[in-house]
Amino acid sequence: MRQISSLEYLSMSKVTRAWYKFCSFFANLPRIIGRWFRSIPGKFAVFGRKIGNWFRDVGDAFRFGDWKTRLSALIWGTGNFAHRQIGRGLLFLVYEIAFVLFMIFFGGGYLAKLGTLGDTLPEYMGSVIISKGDNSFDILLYSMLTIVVILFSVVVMFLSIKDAYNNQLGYSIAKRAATAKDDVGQLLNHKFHLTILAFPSLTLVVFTIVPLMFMILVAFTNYNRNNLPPANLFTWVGLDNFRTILTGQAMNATDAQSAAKFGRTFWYILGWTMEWAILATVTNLFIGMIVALIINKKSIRFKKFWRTCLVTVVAVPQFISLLLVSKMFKSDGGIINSMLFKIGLIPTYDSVKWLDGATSMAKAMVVIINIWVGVPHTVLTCTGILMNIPDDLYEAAKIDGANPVKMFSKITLPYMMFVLGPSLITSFVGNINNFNLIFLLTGGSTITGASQMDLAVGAGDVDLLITWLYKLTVNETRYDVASVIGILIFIVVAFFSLVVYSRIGSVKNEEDFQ
Amino acid sequence: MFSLLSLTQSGATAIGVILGLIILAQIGVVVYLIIAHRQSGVVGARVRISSPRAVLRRSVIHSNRKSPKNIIIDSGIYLLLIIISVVWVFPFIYLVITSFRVESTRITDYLIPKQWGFDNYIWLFNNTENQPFFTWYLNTLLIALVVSVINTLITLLTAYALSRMRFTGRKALMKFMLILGMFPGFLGMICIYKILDAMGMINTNLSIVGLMLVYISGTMMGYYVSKGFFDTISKSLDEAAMIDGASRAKIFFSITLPLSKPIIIQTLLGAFVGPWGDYMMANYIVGSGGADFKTVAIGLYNWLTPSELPKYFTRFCAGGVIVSILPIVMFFFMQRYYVAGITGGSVKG
Repeated sequence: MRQISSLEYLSMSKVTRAWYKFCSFFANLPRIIGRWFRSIPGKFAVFGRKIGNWFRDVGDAFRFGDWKTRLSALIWGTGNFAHRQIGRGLLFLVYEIAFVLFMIFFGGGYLAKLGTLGDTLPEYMGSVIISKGDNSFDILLYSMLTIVVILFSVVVMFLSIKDAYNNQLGYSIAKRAATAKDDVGQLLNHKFHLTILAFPSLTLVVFTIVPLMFMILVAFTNYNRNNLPPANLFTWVGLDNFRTILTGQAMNATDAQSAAKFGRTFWYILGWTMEWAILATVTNLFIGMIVALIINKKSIRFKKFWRTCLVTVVAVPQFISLLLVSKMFKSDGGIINSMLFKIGLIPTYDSVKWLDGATSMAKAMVVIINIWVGVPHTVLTCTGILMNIPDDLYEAAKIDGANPVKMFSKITLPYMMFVLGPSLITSFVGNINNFNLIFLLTGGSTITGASQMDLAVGAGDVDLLITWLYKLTVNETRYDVASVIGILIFIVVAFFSLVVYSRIGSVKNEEDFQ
Repeated sequence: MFSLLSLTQSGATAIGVILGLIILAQIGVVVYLIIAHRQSGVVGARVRISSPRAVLRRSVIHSNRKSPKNIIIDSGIYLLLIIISVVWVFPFIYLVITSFRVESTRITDYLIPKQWGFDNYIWLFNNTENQPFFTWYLNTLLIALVVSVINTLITLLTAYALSRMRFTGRKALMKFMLILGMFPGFLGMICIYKILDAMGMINTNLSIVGLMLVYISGTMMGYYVSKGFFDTISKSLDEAAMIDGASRAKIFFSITLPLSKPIIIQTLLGAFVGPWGDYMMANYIVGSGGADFKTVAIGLYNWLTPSELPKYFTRFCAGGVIVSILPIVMFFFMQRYYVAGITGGSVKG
């Protein structure tokens, strides 16, 4: 794109300027992304330096510490016992004993088999297990857990050494170390964040981080219905799953056909997911804005009533409203078709196949029904924004002789876009992962149990990536492919979020608002 | 209006014609709106030349006077609003009406029941077909209540820590959670299932606790809106309290929390509605277990599978009405706070 001087820019009309800004944003996109990728090594360097500093601190403590400090590395809490911090010392010691026992009797065994994910199959005598063999699933899962525990324990060990060193220094100056009472006081004051983040972090680690680590690694294995533990073992296959999904090439000749299908299906579904997300976001934003403006027009009465009619959709759980709507649009006997038939608009009861006929029709209907679901959300948000616009802005504009159109384009619209702009990307990402709408309305396919596009196992014509992921997991037990798709969804979402977050000021300068 | 829909062919055609006329009138109103705006623009331009005082007087007079033009515009808007609200509310009217139909449990081709009654509701709470709707309802209520309280606490505390405290690793933690939140939540599900199984929470009495844990687990990542809200509360309040000797905990509970009513209510509402209407996670964790451990979402979904549909459609409608009442009541009472919470805490660009 041609660079223009500021004089040229100022001489353009409003519309051209907006168009220029719009174009230049997309023209600059590759550069923004390129810059971000180039900044990755720098970020890693900073991260590495921070870790390095930490190690150096501990090293210093070890070097300059006395025997108590040094012994704290081996028997955690020694430094605390020596300075009569019995509570703290006991905590360290008990944790160390628990950790060692955990490693010997549980974690160590699993971690040792992580390289192969197990090699001995269980042996059966009839249906009775005589030797248990290895379970690849357990090995992978508990290895992840063990790695997290080890990382945490290293932190605890460092804390123990630093604590002992601080005690040593503090003792020599003030002759007094912090007591248990001081500690509790600290946890409610300067270290309040530790208190309040402890429990949420624990659930986050156990139920989010460990499962995610596990599933990311499953993408590099052949964990599917052919290799289900405990009867079978699965193993590492490298990047084969990614190659199958992205290019449609198989690892061996027997899988060639299904692999080609997988590749085609993925690109088809990715394309439709993007189409869907853009359509759903844009229609909701514009229609929602228009409806909100109409309802909030000064001379309109019963504002609350109109808003209440819309909000009902927000309040009723989606599994009720969407399932009901899907039955209303049923082609054979649904109420919509029945009514149209009775009015005389269609010749037979089932002549319009809304959701279970042609793919394009189903796609259009899904977008339209999404307007029904999503517009009230936008209206609620817009109403809040419109209420927040100070009235004196309008009064001042009126005194200066501005007409309604001008007031709208100079006050209302900028104000709304200011708040709605960033939330646009949130709803875009939300729509990429809009499981409920697609799954409850169509089950992902226009005809039961098959697809008109000849797609790979489980995929239907209106499936999004997220519903395909769900089906691959629940119905098809193709966990390996499912986790590849999960990772690809992450990449798509991360890409769009990155573009936006890099441009939102409030993320960078949060202090400005306080 | 609805009773007309079961009339004869000719009557129905008349309705079709009327609907067509309404749509035509609609288009006319829109065109008129555009023209009217353009004209008022001309007026505005002329007014600008006169003195400010005259403008003020004229604008005041102008806004008080209801010209015929304005009346036409407004009536067009009312018409549009009526159509919109009918479209938006119609499925729910259908839901309620169908739930009172006695003569058939199938989907019928007419709207108004031939026989009204509470049969479907009575069946919900008293049936011999192993469909314990009341148990499902209690399960869901329990889960939603517990989860909403715990999640609100977690969200607010996390947001407070990230908004007010400055500690090592704060920025790293925020970035980490941002990235973590970009993975689809369902991805880790088979693994979570296994972990819960190891804890004895699958297909046992504890399976509801397991489901609660699933809903609670990722809450920390949803701190974003609340943090935006806390960021707007002035820091000088905290500092003043700190000088007076209040601890962080005390500041949070006695200064910050009372000031953040909208965001508390919004978080509570969101955290309640999430589990209340969730099908995806619930089906995976408790869907395959015994009938007594299911939630309403799973139960009602199963009634609408093609094979069950003829037997259960009106019962589904009755169940839907009962399940919807609670969230609707909550929304209508808290709507004001909900709106304030959305806009108060949203990201500012």
